[in-house]
Amino acid sequence: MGTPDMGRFFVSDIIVHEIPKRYAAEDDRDLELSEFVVDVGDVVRNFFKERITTTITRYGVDVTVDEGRDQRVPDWVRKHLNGGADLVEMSQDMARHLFKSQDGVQPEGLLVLVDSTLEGEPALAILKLQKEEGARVQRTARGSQSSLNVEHLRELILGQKTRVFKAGLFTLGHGGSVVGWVSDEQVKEFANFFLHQFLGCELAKQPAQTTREFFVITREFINEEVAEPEQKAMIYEALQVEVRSSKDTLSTSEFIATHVPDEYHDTLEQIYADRHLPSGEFTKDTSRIKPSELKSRRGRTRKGLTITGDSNLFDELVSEDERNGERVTVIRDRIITYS
Amino acid sequence: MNDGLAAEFEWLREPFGGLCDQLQGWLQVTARTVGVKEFSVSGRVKETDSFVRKLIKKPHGHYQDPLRDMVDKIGVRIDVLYEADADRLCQAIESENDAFTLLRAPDHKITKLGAATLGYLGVHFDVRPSNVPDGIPPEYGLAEIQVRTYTQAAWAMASHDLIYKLQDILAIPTAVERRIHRLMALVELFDDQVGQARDAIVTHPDFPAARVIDALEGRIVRFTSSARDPELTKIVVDTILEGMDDHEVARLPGLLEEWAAENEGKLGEIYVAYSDDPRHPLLRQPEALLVFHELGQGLTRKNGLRQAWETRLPLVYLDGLAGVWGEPY
Repeated sequence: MGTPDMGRFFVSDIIVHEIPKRYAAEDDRDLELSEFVVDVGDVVRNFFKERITTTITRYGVDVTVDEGRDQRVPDWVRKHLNGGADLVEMSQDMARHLFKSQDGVQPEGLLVLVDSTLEGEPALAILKLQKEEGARVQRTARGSQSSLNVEHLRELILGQKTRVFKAGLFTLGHGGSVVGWVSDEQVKEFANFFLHQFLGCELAKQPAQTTREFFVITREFINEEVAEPEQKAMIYEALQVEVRSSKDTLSTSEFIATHVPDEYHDTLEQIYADRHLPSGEFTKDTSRIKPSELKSRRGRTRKGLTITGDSNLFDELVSEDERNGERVTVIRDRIITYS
Repeated sequence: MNDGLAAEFEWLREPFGGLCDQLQGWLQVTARTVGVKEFSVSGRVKETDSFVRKLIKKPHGHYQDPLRDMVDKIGVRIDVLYEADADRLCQAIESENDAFTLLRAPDHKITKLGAATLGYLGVHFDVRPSNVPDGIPPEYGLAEIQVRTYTQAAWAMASHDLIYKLQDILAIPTAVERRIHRLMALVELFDDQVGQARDAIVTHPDFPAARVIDALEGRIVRFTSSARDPELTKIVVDTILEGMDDHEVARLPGLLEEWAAENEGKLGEIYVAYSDDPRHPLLRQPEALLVFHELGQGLTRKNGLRQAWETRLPLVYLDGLAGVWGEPY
């Protein structure tokens, strides 16, 4: 599906509900829920637009409805996007559902529903936030003197650097199905409560599939688009290092910026977009990449030189030839560093 | 006879005012749409005593039905900086539109003057607005639109005073007449020279940024009428262009025109949503469009923009615009 044009994402209404912590033994509780939409003004509306844009662009992954899960949220979203559900009532239902879905592990937080449009069509963003603490400095006066006072705030909900922030953005796809993007800035917890139990969704592509596609597509790019053998080798090596590393995530944009020469940035970015890879970060799962694909090949010459490298590169750059009646190994490359 | 007409005119003045507002609004939107950067729109419904005075001055029978035939009882005016802007506006007024139809061919004052005579050079249009407010008999819903340069406007104001003073002098002394002709020649020359100077700056090979800025200024006025800071525009545009080669810079004005036309809808939506949001001080500056353009030209250009930007400008403003455009870093 790819990332939508978030420049055409606009917020119209915002409603916020406080979701207390639910203890494991607690069955139900009357929640004090918001009962009307407050006009927050353009500045707040645009602030939410920009914050949701950033999180969906950087961390968003395509999701679809998982019919094997609780379908209350997708049903409410579908009804609302079709014009059939009032924002306040639906958000209250969603808040109660979120509270009941919690299993005692999740901390108290806020559920924020953002009624919006995306590329001219109705859209709904669902955010789960935690309150944060902060400090505010304000000038204060005593008689003719002035000074700065530091005030402690416990009620901050969303700043430019808020980390505990999960967001889903939904719209109607072909045939009226609910489609969307979900981001979790704490990516480790992605396969989690918010996505599955609460939203009733699943990743459109599993991390193992995305990781494999990233690996294969990048390898194809190196073979087909990169002309210089030195550059090929450098990107191959970086790809292997990234995939083998202990990091939990990969990022297409970071890979391009860090490991790909400038002249190929646009080409690879376009290839990733055309093949529907996330434009930013995604969870890494190498289970569908065969160990042999990550294995280096090693060759040793009769006189004791060792050549090590990616097996594909090996096939491409190393060949046997006969010169002046003697069998020789030809390596179409150049040594650029010695150790 | 004039008493009854005066009473009817007085009663119609309020709905005529609605018509006047409609036409002023249309002129403002149209001026921005055709890329006129500096303009001033005004309008008025004649005062009732002025309406009667005009009737008194005209010979009996000049107006068959004064409420219908005195088209300039409702008058709107747009004054612009350059003759080229006035030409574009005149074209837009003459084009088919939803706001009005032309009653007759436009009155180009220069045509009446001929080649050997100097004088007022504005263009006047008699129009029939499409949506005549309730309370106005349809046949009375006519108005006059005037298009002038600021210089022509200045001359019109000065001459208005001079001409009425001169009307009583049968034989104008040659020296005075010569002085007036020199003034009128100056008006024409001034507009002509200002236009030529502008074209020379915009097309000068040593100032490629001027063409880019001109293209940006012509576009931003479609979306916002906020006051702009040209000095800041120059700094930002120069900073961005430093990262491009000469060939890219030369092609940029044309590319910007195409890009802006393709993204007209998105830009319109953004500027409406941010009209009351003061957090992005560059958003209403022409250079915001250049930033938006560069953000969408692939990762290399996007990163190049950031690198060029941070050499001279605080990144927080670039990041803000990137968030607005939906292409955050």
